[in-house]
Amino acid sequence: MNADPAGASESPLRVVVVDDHPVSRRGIISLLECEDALRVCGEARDRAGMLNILACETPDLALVDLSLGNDSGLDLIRDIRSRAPGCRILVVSMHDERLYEDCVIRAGAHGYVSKSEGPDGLIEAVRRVVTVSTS
Amino acid sequence: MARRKRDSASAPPRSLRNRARERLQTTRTDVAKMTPENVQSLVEDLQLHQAELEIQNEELREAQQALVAMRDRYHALYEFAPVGYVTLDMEGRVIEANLAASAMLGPKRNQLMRRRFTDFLAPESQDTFYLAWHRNKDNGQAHATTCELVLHERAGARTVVQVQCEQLIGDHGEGAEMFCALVDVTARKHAEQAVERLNVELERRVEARSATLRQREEELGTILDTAPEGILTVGQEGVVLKANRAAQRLFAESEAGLSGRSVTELLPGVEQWLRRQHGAERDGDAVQAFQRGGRLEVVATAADGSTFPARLSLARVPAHDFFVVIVMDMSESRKLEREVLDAAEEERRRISRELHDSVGQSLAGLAMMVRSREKRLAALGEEVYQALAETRIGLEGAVRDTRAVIHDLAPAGLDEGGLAHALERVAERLREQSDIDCTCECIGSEPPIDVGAKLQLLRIATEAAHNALKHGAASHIALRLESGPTRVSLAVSDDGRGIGAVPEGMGIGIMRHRAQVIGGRLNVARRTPRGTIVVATVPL
Repeated sequence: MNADPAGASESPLRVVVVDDHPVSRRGIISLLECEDALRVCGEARDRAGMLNILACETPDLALVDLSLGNDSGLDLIRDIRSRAPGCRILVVSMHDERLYEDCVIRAGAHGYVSKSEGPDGLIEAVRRVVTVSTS
Repeated sequence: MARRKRDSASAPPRSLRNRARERLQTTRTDVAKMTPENVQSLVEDLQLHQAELEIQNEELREAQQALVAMRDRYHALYEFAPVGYVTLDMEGRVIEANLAASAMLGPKRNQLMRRRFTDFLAPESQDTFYLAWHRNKDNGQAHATTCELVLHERAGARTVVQVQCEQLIGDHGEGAEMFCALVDVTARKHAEQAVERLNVELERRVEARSATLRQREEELGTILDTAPEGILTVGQEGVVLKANRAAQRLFAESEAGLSGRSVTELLPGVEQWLRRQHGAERDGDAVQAFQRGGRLEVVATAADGSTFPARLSLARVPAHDFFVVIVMDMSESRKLEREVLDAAEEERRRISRELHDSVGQSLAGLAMMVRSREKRLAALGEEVYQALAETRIGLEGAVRDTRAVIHDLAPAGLDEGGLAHALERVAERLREQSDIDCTCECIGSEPPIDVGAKLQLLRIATEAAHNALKHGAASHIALRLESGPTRVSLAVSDDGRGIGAVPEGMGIGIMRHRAQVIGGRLNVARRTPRGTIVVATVPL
């Protein structure tokens, strides 16, 4: 992320990770923490947790899983869009990318990446979403 | 035979001399008063008459000799005739009998004379003869009367004779004698009795066999009518001959209504099978397979137009040259099989969800953790970096494998993207996994069938494509979905070695079962010049 336009010259982007699976959430956070341009300011395992964060934080980027226990990731996307319109949203899911990408974009997300793309694929997706927002 | 008369010429003649004297007295001429010339003329006439009489006398002698010869000949014929001749007086006593009659009646001929004919008859024939005798005697029958009489037993043997009686009429029209002709019919009677006994025995056996057959027919009828499966008897022309009660119930039609119907109307697909069997029979090599009969799954049509899935067992009855088709209603079975398949799919989805929500997520998270450690611990040395990188690469591979398993267990997108989208994904994954050229063409709108049926079609497409890839060594596979107003058809064709080049395994059987469970059919055929085409058709 060093080549990121929103790099070290500016304050790092505040990121929230929403994933119901603790190992997956922990992996994503540890990966993001390696990036100087990013700062994880919150994490949640469901929709309620994310709404609590949004009550006191204004994140620049939200990484959202589609499956959130009993909650729908699509509903959460709409919540984020209404409560934090400036927040970029990247959907990170184990689901088939081709199948859900259009769906999440229509719901208001800015990007979609499958967890099967691996760590580098995830970072690349974050970069694409952030770059589009700053360009 | 005309009524006979006793010849009156046989009466004893008066003396010729006496008769001549009588005539001379009435016609005498006085010779003394005649002239010598007249006397001379008379003498000449007398001499001429004398000569004529001598000639006549010679002729009479010759005639008499001829008559004697004829009489002797007649007598020999009478005596030695194979038929017995007996002449009775009007009291029924024997006055003449030939040798054959004597042999039949028993005593020597001279002992027969003057004995009553009834003395020689068995008791049971007395009345018969009495009636026959009086029919002729009293009524003056113009025709002979025939009857069969049993003679007294001699040396333990019964003789049966056929007797023809004819009355001989006297000069004054009265009955003079009774002429009887006797023919020994003992052998014929024995033969007739033997034939009669055989007939009785034959009739008894026929009756016993008929009773057995009736009983068997009733038993068979009971078995047929209580059988839970429909049983149709079909002639060589494919026309229904008989139908048991279960068949009448299945097809909602009486036996009379079913009889004469074409089996193709009731069981589409059977006629082709029958034709194939005829063809196989002509080929000779497949006769045994033909005689073993066959099984067939069809969609049967009842008289009210409703349809039901049916499993048929077909067999030819060579002795009678017709087919027996046993029809089993598979509706309940199909429903159950569908429930089993749906339950299996639900279980797959559950496992898929579990993998998705647990193992897949964990592996993905671990891969990302390792990647973050790689970056932080890179300063510890190349060896540590390499170890972490290898671990991370392994984890990423495990994530992809898990995702593939998740997809195989529960193909995603049927609910959201429909069958066309899911088929596109199958083609895409095949292209990703191999160098094969796999295309997908979808014609028409989304098929109006339930998700479970779509899932079965998708599984058929996946199985057929994998077969083409794995066994057929195909380089191109084409998936084609066509949704029409009356049916949905899915075709998977390839350019591989073709069906038949490799043995038909369980795969085709499972695909066929999947098609049948959703009410459809599966056809597998070899393509020209190479390759295989698998077509699943589901009626709407």
